[in-house]
Amino acid sequence: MFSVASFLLENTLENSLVPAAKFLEDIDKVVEEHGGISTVFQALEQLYTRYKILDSSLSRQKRSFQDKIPDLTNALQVIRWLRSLEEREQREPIETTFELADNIYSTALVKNPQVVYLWLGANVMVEYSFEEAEYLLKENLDGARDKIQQLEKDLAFLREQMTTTEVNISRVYTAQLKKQASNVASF
Amino acid sequence: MERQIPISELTKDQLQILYDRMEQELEHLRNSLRTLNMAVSRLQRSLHCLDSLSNKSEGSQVMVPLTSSLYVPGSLKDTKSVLVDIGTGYYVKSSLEKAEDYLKRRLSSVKKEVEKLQQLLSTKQEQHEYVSVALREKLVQTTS
Repeated sequence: MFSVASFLLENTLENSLVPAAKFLEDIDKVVEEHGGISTVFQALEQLYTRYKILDSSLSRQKRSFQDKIPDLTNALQVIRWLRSLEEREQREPIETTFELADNIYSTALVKNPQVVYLWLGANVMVEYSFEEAEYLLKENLDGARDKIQQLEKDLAFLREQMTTTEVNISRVYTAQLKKQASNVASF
Repeated sequence: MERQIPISELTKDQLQILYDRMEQELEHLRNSLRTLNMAVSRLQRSLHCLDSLSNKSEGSQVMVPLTSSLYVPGSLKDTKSVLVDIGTGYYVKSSLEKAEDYLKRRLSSVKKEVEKLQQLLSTKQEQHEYVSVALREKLVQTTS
């Protein structure tokens, strides 16, 4: 997952995607045990960069699910409306205006549809009955909402780990400054 | 924007700033060109669709989109006229020929814009190259 210095991470598996950052209590001890200030500093920077990459990837996933939601809700509404027509014994064909091309619309007659076609992406379109289509759309909609919730939790946890790492970085930096100051003083 | 100061009289830093600014302008122009080219291909697609509609007879089977991913089986009602979206919420019902005519006019005006933009782009690119050469020379001068 993260091929980063393990002394910077907690051993717990709180989140399956995001490794937990350890708050470095004793900076001097850590520096001593792990090869000096610049090594530790570099390791921290590396960890921080990995967190940032993970952040943008999770945010992107969340946005893509969020984009799907209005489309799914629309399609679901239309299906439910079509089903209500069936139930109300509406036998007249419906005239509808549909988009033929970018700015061109044409009219068509839709009479008693028994099936719908769903575009599943990747050049795949499948014929479904009303019930199957409604079920599928609902599953996708609920799935998208669940994924968004999960991603939001992951992102919140990730942001906490980033803050911990930022604090660690600034404390190591301060330690380095103090060391440089004491080196100068001992002249 | 004509520069009256000959490039050779600018300092290295001024040249750098000019270079960066021209870089930005070029990027901006390239983006506009991309948008225009997309408009051209969309218009061409619409023309193609109109053409295939004219070959179909009333009542032929179509898949009617109800949303962007949901289609229902239906039959074509009117193959002699279409509604054209002319912008700002106005739609005009016109014959296939008139619609085709409208699209062709739009297409040729966009193509003209593309040509103008391409010319502007190549002029700017030449100027940019000029500045880049002058910058490199200045850099060589100062390090020798």
